[in-house]
Amino acid sequence: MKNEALIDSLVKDLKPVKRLPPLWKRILIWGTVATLISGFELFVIAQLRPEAIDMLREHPRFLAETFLIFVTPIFAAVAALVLSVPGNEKRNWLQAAAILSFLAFIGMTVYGLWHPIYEATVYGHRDSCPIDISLFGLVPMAILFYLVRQAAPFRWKWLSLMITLAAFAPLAAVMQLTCMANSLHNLIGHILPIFLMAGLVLWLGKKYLKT
Amino acid sequence: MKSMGPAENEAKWSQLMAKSLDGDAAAYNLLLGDLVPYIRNFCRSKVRHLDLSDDVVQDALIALHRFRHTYDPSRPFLPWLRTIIRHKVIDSLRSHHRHMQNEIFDNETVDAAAQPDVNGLTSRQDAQDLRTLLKSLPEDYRQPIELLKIEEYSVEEVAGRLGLSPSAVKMRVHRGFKMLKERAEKEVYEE
Repeated sequence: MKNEALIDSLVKDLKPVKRLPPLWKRILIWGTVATLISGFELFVIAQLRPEAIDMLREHPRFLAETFLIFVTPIFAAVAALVLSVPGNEKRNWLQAAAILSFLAFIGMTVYGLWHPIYEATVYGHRDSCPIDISLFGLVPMAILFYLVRQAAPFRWKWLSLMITLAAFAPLAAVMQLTCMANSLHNLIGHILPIFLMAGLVLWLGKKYLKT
Repeated sequence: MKSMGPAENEAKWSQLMAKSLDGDAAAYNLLLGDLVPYIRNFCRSKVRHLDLSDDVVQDALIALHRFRHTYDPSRPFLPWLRTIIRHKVIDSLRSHHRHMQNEIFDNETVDAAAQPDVNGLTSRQDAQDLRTLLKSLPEDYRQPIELLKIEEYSVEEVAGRLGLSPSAVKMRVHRGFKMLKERAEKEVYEE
């Protein structure tokens, strides 16, 4: 088909389009859903560990770990929503920030295996963390898939990774304050499920985001 | 009169795009017509094969149409457009690379098939069958295969003889092999 014929057919197909909602609105939708789900986990399913707030005050390393796992999903969600709109490549640093903060959190957790900063506590001991993270994370995941698909998801692999972190890391962040403080448990029960869900999200990304 | 460059045109294109988003067909027609040379130049700076860059221009126009709702008229137009074109260039190069790999695989398969098998049974009948199948191909695909594989000309020589680019010759040989394979499988299945 020649360019002129193609242009004619595209012009014939032209209709007024519903524009993409502004970025702040799309971030607000994710933020609301992620906050509701995390709040449900924090106040209904699990409970805040009695000494969690004291630990945040007394142990800078615990405070740093918690900070990193809280900012990871924020960077990741903003990266996914910003970078799914063409012309925003200069804001690539957002996805680097999400990955670096998550890796730093993992690094600190691994370091804690050999150099614990606090006594392992039995408070908040639960075995269902991987299930909670995987299950409740599906809701923000579905919302993010919808929001990213609305735009132009050209780089589906990166976007899938950002969706994974934005959907499942908020639950891991909540676990930091509700579940037992133990590095090995954190690695297996809170971090491993995020990696496992990344496989699912990449598969879904290939199916639904690939343009 | 000196024609305006992309930077000078950006404000005009942005306005045309904004009108197009509201369904103004005349503005859209003008915009797409204006963009073709820009997209073509952009593609040619990234893709050496002319055939490929023409395909990318059309892919980019289709992508622009599909994702036009993501354009925000308050933001610059060119970075938005360049992202779409760049993505289509990458897609096209990947797909070209895959075709080339398949072609190498197909060529090896055909070469292997041309060797006598362990019992020396690759027979005149097989060669006859292959010729019959080859004759059933459309001329556009049969000619490059015959020149390249039977008369053993180089890709460049075949391209020169047929007035095609080397990449177009490779593409036609690849598609021709694919058709041959499908027809051979169909015959085996019917037998």
